[in-house]
Amino acid sequence: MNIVVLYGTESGNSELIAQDLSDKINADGQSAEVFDLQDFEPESITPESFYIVVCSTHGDGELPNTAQDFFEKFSTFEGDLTGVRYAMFGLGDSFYEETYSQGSEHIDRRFTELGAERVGEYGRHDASSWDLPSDVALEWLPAVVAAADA
Amino acid sequence: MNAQTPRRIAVVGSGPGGCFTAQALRRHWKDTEITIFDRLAAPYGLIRYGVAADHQHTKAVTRQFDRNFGSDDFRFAGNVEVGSDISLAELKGVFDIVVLATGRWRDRALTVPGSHLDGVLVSGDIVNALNTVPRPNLPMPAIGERVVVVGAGNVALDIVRFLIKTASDYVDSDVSPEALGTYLERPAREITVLSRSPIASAKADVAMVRELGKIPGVAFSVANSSSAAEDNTLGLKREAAFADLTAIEPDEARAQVRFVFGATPSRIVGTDHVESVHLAEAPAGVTGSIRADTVISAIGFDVNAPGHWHYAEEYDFAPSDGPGRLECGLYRAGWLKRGPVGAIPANRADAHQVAKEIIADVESGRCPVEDDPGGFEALPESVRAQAVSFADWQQIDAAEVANAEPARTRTKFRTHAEMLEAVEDLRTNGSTAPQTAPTHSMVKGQS
Ligand SMILES: Cc1cc2nc3c(=O)[nH]c(=O)nc-3n(C[C@H](O)[C@H](O)[C@H](O)COP(=O)(O)OP(=O)(O)OC[C@H]3O[C@@H](n4cnc5c(N)ncnc54)[C@H](O)[C@@H]3O)c2cc1C
Ligand SMILES: Cc1cc2nc3c(=O)[nH]c(=O)nc-3n(C[C@H](O)[C@H](O)[C@H](O)COP(=O)(O)O)c2cc1C
Repeated sequence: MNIVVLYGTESGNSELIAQDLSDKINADGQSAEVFDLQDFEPESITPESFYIVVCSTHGDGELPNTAQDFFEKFSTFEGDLTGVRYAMFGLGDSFYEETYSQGSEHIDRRFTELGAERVGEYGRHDASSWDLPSDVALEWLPAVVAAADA
Repeated sequence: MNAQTPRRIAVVGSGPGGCFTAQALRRHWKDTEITIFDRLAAPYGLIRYGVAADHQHTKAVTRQFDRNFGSDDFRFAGNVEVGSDISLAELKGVFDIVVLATGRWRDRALTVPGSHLDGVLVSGDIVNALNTVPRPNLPMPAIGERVVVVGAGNVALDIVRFLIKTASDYVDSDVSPEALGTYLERPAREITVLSRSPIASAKADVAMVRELGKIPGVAFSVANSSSAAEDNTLGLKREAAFADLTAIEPDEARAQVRFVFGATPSRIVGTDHVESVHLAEAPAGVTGSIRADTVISAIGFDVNAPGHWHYAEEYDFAPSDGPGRLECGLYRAGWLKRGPVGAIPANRADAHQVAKEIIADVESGRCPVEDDPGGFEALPESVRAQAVSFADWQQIDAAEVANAEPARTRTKFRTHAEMLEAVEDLRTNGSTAPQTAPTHSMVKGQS
């Protein structure tokens, strides 16, 4: 199955994770491509692909700037995403207690509203934890890929 | 490689502006040699030397750049100052493209009568001491018990936080032990923060305001001059955050912080030393004179601080959101381009713009690149020898970490000379273990 890794970022961490996830998937013999959400249209989402969304949080619990235009389009997008499956990996910083990791959740909610189905655990990276973002994401990946293949 | 691909790129400045630009260029040109110069032996600019010590998590963004340097995406050449160790003309001679990302940060100083009195400080002096800025290393200035902070942006709030925090709030940080110790011997008890604008248009992030409320043992009061309009969502959020501060009732207050919005100082009064601050304007109910022994201004940065770009005086460095091109082959990025505004992530978006522009200039033929000019290896031997490589820096880094005081992530070398000694030591002994990790009372070099 083709896997599409989408990222929304402001300081580059999500991009790095997305790239590492895609490299790993390709190295393991499946195919993955990466897109910045700012270069991706909601119309291109199809049940034939599996989507992994990696997205950080900025401002006061908001989306990072490369995800904002996409989200605006996604919010008014009226397609039916029934049959589409996806996984979420959110970045944030628990230092921002009230809004921790909420950026990605805006996208997650819209996917669900449109009928798509989230599989696997909701992955998270916390900048205050001092864990390396890609380490956390790569640990999270196998279960998600297994769920996607199931 | 063809004529449309540059062979050698120099980036001057290893702060986020320079590193994000290098990253973006690397993504497009996989084989081009990219060298990032910095006058300091340590990379990352204000991420290491500006961001507050109690916000260590903010520094995590450097791990991206660590990885780029570690995988030879780009080379670090620290301890090379453009303008003194090497001229911009020399650099332009051996690199196809030079990107200037030297930042700019010098405090705007107060200009009201009395600004020259002892006890009047700029935030930068405190920030530099807490971050152990090495060139030159300056001690923590003396701060009294009654402090007036002028300004209410994020840097001002960094200062307020510092004034009211205790030793235990710096666990796992890289704060300078001496600077912190000096202040905490006799911390401030009464702090008045003056903001020219009302809360609605003040510059502080809401998260920064909320953070103050988490520091125990502090009482807050707020006087505001005018309220946010009903459609000003952000202004209303900020007002709510300040209102929450005033609701805190500590059993016993170590410190009292009073925010006065819509207030400007007209005059600082004292014979040699600050005694009080007089206000030109103030909201209802606020007296016109505040007793104080220290005034700390955090009123933004001086965009045109003289001498800052002595290495390139012939260029116009007025802040701009437009193109980064100064001429074909010479560009600017980061705070040097946009002026001293915006947080670390803002430099990424800007860097991507500048990288795009450079790529278009070269690939369209508008700014063609010539034969291989030689790059780093073509620099004078003396410059190459003094350059601190990324591996050298990792050695300095390891020594700082090994040398950390209890409950600290690191204790930074205090001077540039000490950092260079650590490198020298490694080069002569060939050992990978830190040799000179000096305790902070040891070496006294000054650069
Ligand atoms: C006190 C303070 C606190 C801040 N706190 C935060 C925060 O908490 N979070 C946040 O997101 N942002 C913060 N910022 C903003 C952030 O630091 C800036 O957005 C960012 O650092 C600007 O990047 P830059 O690369 O343009 O400049 P800089 O980070 O200043 O980097 C410039 C680099 O160029 C080098 N250089 C200068 N001249 C020469 C020369 N002639 N030759 C060679 N090298 C040279 C310098 O040594 C330096 O390493 C803060 C800024 C300040 C001033
Ligand atoms: C100005 C700023 C605001 C932030 N606001 C939040 C927030 O409200 N909630 C949160 O969980 N994380 C917040 N973060 C933390 C980021 O989500 C975290 O640093 C993440 O690793 C950034 O990923 P990116 O590089 O892909 O943008 C903020 C970071 C910055 C610099």
